[in-house]
This record gives sequence, structure tokens and C-alpha cells, in this order.
Amino acid sequence: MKVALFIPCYIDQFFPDVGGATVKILKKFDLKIDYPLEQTCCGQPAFNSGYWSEAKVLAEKFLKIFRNYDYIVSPSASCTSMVRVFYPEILKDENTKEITAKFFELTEFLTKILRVESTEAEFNHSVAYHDSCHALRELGIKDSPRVLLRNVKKIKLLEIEDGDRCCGFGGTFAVKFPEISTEMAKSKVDNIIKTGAEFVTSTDSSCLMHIGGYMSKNGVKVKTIHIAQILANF
Amino acid sequence: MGERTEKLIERFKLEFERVGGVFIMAKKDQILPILNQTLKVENAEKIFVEKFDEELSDILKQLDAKQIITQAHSEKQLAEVDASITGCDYLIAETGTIVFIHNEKRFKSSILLPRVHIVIAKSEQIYESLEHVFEKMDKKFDSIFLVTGPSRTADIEKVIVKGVHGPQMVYLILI
Amino acid sequence: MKETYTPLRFKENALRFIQDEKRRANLNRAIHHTLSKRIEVVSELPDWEILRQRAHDIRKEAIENIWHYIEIFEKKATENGIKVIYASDAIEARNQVLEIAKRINAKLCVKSKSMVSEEIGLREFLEENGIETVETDLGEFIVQLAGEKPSHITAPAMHKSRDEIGKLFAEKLGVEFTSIPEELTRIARGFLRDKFLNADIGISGANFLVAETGSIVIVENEGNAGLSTTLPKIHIAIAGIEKVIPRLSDLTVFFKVLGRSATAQRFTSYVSLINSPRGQKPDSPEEIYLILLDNGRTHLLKSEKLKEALYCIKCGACMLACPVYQTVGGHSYGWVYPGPIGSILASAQLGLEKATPLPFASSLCGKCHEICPVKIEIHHILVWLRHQAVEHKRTSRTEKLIFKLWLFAMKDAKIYKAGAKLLRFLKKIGIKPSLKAWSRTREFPQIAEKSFREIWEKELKN
Ligand code: SF4
Repeated sequence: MKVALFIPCYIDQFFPDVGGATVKILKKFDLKIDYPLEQTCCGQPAFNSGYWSEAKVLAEKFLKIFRNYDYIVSPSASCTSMVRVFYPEILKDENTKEITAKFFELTEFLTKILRVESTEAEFNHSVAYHDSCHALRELGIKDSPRVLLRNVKKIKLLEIEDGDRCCGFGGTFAVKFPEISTEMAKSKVDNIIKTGAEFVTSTDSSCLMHIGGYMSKNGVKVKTIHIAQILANF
Repeated sequence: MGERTEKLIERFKLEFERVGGVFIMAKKDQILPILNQTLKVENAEKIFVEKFDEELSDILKQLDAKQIITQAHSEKQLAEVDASITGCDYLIAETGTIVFIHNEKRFKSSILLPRVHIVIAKSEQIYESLEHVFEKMDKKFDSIFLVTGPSRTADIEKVIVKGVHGPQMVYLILI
Repeated sequence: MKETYTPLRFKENALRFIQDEKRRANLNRAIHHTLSKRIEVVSELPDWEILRQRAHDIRKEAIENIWHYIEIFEKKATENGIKVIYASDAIEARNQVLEIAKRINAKLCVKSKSMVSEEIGLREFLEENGIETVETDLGEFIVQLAGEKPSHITAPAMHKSRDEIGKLFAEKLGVEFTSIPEELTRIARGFLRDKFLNADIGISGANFLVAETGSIVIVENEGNAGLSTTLPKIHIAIAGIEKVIPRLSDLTVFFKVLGRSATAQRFTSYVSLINSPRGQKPDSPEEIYLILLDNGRTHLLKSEKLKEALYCIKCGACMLACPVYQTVGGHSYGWVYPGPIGSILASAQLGLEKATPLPFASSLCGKCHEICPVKIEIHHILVWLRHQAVEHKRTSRTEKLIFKLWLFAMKDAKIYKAGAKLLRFLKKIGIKPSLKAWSRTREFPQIAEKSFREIWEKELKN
């Protein structure tokens, strides 16, 4: 099985440990993984802002890089949805779907392709799980991360009230409408605090960056951690 | 009465009561006392009575009411009526809905204007769903009015208030 | 109110609403109430998803063949004695109503809830022409008294508290102050009863137009639409062309999804299927007019992408469920149809130049699509509209430049790497490029010591 890793640009530069954790997990299941160095960004920021021709350039580049793998795995549901759901929208090439269908978010790759329900990790903390909108509604990822987290030893997994509500990130939305975006972060954080969890986790570093950014600005003590980092704790 | 009809009646009753209607099962000879009692409870003195078949008409003539109108000359007159007693065309069990098809004797203002609306129906008029009614109905119908419980609103802080523009109470007497 | 009521002022309006804690509390209480009841009445239908799909398919069939069904509808309705008129835009529709009103020398109109009449500014227009026009839906009546606009399409006064309404009634209707909803409703009933009985014209919208039977279908709870379309001697219904559906039996699907989505009800109190004028009946109007309004809708029909927005049955669920709407309220959008679907309709009907901020005012979370009873891919259409905005140069030069630079960096891993190196260097010497719009309310993460690709090459590769 030829598996390639896609590490989104902001994880590459800001949260490299998430990439490291992803590699560690995949290696645990005896996968030979490749990380093509020509990769940069999936193009989502441009696509979501309406710059489709710019996004298209990156989409074409992306497919060229990843064309020959059996699977492409990424610790980001957001980028996964960009590739799987939106590439076919901007690339009218017939073969697009063939390649994009091989792209998986990490937890769905583990549960659906490898059919793994546990990484035998241990995490002695209480953790609230945050559904990213792209995971939940574009890709239908709801159970995969929960199953994996539930099987982490010593973890106390908590659900957030109104959990399917957006954290307010939304890419450039967060800077175009900072006040609205911040209010949405506030509601989310209020509900996270209510769980009493020490950590909040998610399939997406982008949500966590937003939620975490709001929390540290406002002195909230809950920490953010990407789900790969919990699952790689073995 | 077949088992099927009984089930439908049960369902209708449940749904109708859930939307705030009052459901009463009655034999023919109970109608008069039930109606009189209802009018008394509702403090209804002026009433409008739709044209029914002879048997029912005879019963309704004996109602205890200050004034009984059987033919409204104007809508203003109907607006002053406390309660109206009408028939209906179908009942829908699934939603507790009463179906009125407009014709010379059945019309909307007598349903909507009075404070209290009392409907007399027969068990054979009951159908499971609107689909069934539509199938059964002549496609060349005149206007139709579907009524599911009393008039209501939730426009003020989502508090449900009955009797906004239409009746506050809807009774269904099933013979 | 007027000059701020435009999509172009979205941001300022939103800010004002965000700071108005009382309004927000009113709104969110009402939203929470409806949404939690909705879950209850939706979950008792195990085949909800199948129903949504059917509703979607029927709307699709109707819109794909819209002129065919409109032709059948018109033929049927005309046979039944309804006068069908076309109006290409707001001005035409308003004038058609005025012409009818003038012909019978009308003094008083009663109106039941109709978003289309809101869309064309009908009430204001009739009043300017000396015809008293009264909203009879309680929520609309409250909003009219207050001189405001509806904040939601099915619950127009949801932003107001009972105290505010009590004060408004006391001031405008000269009654004693009360904040009891039952009392307030009673007062409105009395006041409006009089209007109903004396009105010359009843104006309504339409929820559906059934091609098969030529019926105008109106769904409501209060009975005011029933009365508006029964008591006055003339009834004028105004409907967007998209309201047509093929068959009578289609209604059974829509009734199931509409009530649940709009007001969390299993079935609305009243449904009128209006087929013909008075004839032999003791009541009903002598004449019924149906104005079929285009007002930009054919423009939507021309676009494969936008067409889908016309499937909308105006239930308002996508607004209630939208976290942005919940935060900024309906008025901020500055148009009759607020929220996610409203942002699409505004862009299409008013033109992007008059609505540009709206397609961007979404986090694209997809909640709207998830809740929509006819499964419109609202959030995907919004992204597409952003694309249109860029194509039509509706975004700033700076932004365009940023994305050009960004693409330059991302196109080539070497340049990307060099850019990252530069950022690290800047950090080392203490310069941290900051984005005020982000960092005023949120910390921005620090760039990591080493990027993942460096770690990979040095440590993980083998
Ligand atoms: S888009 Fe869908 S959810 Fe929104 S109002 Fe229309 S039908 Fe309702």
C-alpha cells in the first residue's frame, strides 16, 4: 500500500508536532509512508475567498504530486474536504474524482481503511471533543474520532453542549468579520468551559488555533491539542 | 365500527387534543345535551348553525341559546356570533386535521369568525392521511380549508396564545 | 432605519446588534425555543431524510420545468376564475395592485404575511397612495406599529420582548399597558377585527401554486390569512414565479416538512387552498387576482448554480440555525430575506454590487444546508458567489494582491520554504508580522522553531 502524507501549510509551519504525531501513528500500523516535499497548500484559503483561479493552480499541482499513491492521509478534515468535495468543483477533468477519492482525514483513514479502533495510546486527562464543521458536515466524520478517543486508556472524553455549532473560524471570515467570528468563539469556549475539561481536541488545527487563540487572550486555562497528538501518545 | 376505524379515531383524538382541540364521542341522542353543556361552558348565547340533514336539524332547533342564526346575512352578523356549529367533509387522523370543502352551505367565515367552533362529524369521514383524502376527493373541488386546532400564535416571545383571529376553542363531536 | 437597511451596511449593523445585549437575548431565547422543539417534531419522523429528498426532488422538477408548470397553472387557475397577471419587477407589481385598488376606489387593505409584498415594498407604496394598509399577522402588525422591518421571515417580531410590545401597544393604540401575551393578543384581535370587516381588498402571499388544480395555497396559524382572503370583496395574491409545484399530492410532502422547519409544528393550524372566487358560495371575494412576480428570479434561473436557491420554500430554518444570524440578527442583513439563503437571494436579485458583503458573511459551516428541508447547498452556493464577486472585481485590490503573492509562494515549494525561512528570521530578530483583525481578540500562534518538513527530512524520513 503506497501511502502519502499531506501536511497542510499551517501545520507544517505552526504545529509541526501534529505532523510528527501523524507519522508516528501511521508507522505503528506498519505503513510505509511518503511525504512528497513539493507539497505546499491545498488551496482552500483562496477557494473559500473566491479566488478560484488561484486555487485551481494549486489543485492541479496537488493532483500531480499525489496522483500515484493508493491513499493520501492528512491530519486535517478541512483540507480533506477541500480536496474531496471541492476539487471536483473547480477541476472539470474527468479523472479528478478518481484521485480525490483516495484522500482521507487521519481518523477516518484509521477506522475505515485500516479498520483500527485503537492506537493503544494513553492520556490521563479529561478531553472535550470539538467537531470541526468540515469534518462533520462536508465529510460526515462523527464517530471515527470518538471511537478512537474512547479507546485511549485513562482518558475522560467529554461532549460539548451545542457541539455541532461552528467555532467561528471559517478561514478569511475570521479576519473579515472579526467581531462576529469572535462572538462565535466566545459561545464555543463558554460551552467548552462548561464541560470542565482540561483539553479540547479536534481533527482540525485551524479550529483549535481559533479556539485556543481566544482562550489564551481571555485567560481561559483549557489547553488545545490536536487529536493526532493524543492518539500518538503510546 | 371496524377495528381500523377505531384505530383511526384514536389517533385523530390524540393529535386533535395535542393541538388543543376538544374531542367528544357521542351517540345521536347525546348530541343535544352535549351541545347545550358546551354552549353553557363557553358562555355562548348567539350561535350560528349550518344547514344539516333533517334529523340533525330537528335536534339543533331545540338548542338552549338566546339566538340561533341559520342563514347569515352579512359577515358583520357572523362576527357577532359567539359560537358556530358546522359539519365537515373529512377528518385526517395523522394530524388531527378537519377538512372543509367550500360550497353553498359550508364557508370559511362561519368557521373563522366566531369565538368558538363546534364541528359535528361522522366516523366514516375519517381518513388516515391527507394523501388518502386527496386520492378520494374529486379533483374539481372548490376551495378547501384545512383546520388543525384553534387559531394560534407564538409571535410574542414564543408564548402560544390561542384565538388570535380565528376561534379560541374548537370542539369536535364525533357521531 | 431606511439608510442603514441595506446589505452594504451589514458590518456596521452587525456590530450594533452584537453590542445590544437585550436584543440578542430576546432573539436567542426565541431561536433556542424553536430549534429544540423542532428536534422533537423532526425526530418522530423516522423517514425525515427521505422526506427531505422527496421535497428536494419535487422542487427540482418544478424549477427545471418552471415555464411548463406555470403554463398549466395559469390555464387551470384561469378556468377556475382567477385572474393571473405577470409582473416583471417590483414597480410593475405595485402598480398593478394600485390600479385594481383605484378601480374599486379602495380605502382600506388588509394584508396577511407575505415576504414577496415586503420584497416589493407594497405596503409603503399603497400608503403613499392614500390607501390604508394594515398588516394582520400579529408579528407583522407589531413590526408595522413599531415602524420596523421583520427580523425573520416566519417570526417577524422575534427580536422584541413582551414589555417592548406592551409599551408599543399602549403608545400607538391608546390602550393600558400590559405585558401579558394573551392580553396583547386580545387587543390586536379587537383592533384588527374591525379592519377585516371593513376592508375593500385582502392582500396575501402564497406558499405554493399547484399546477394540476390551479390552487393558491396559503399556510398559516392565526387565521388572518383565511380572513384576509375571504372577507374583502377583492383578493390579490402575490407570489414569486418559483412557487409553482406540479401536483396536488406534492403538498402532502411539503406540509410535513414546512411546519416542522418553520415553526416546529407537526401541522399548521390553517391551510387554505383557494381555487375560485365567490360563485354560489355565501362568502369569498368576488374577484381573485394572482400576480406572478419575477423581480430577478429569471436571472437565477439562467444560472445552473443559482437556480437551486429557487427551491427555497421560505421556512426560515436556515436563518435560525445559522450561527452568524444568531449573532447578528435579521435586520443586519438589510434585506427582506436575511440569513444564509437571503445572502444568495440578495446577491442574485439586487446584484452583487448592492450585496457584496453578504456572501462573505458566513463561516461556511454548512449548518444551513443540514437543516434545509429542501436540501439546498446554501453554503456551496455562497462560495460560488464569492468567486463571482472576485471575477467581477468586487473585492479589494489589497486582497487581490495578497492572494497573488500567496499563490506565488505556494506554487513552488522552494519559494514557500524561503518564505517560511524569512518569517523565522523575522521572529528571531523580534519582528512578528501581526494581523490586527485577528489579534485584537485572539492570540496568533508563533511560528515553530522547525517546520515539519525539516523534521521529516532530518528525523522521520527513515
Ligand atoms: S433555504 Fe431551505 S432552510 Fe432556508 S428558508 Fe429556504 S427552504 Fe428554509
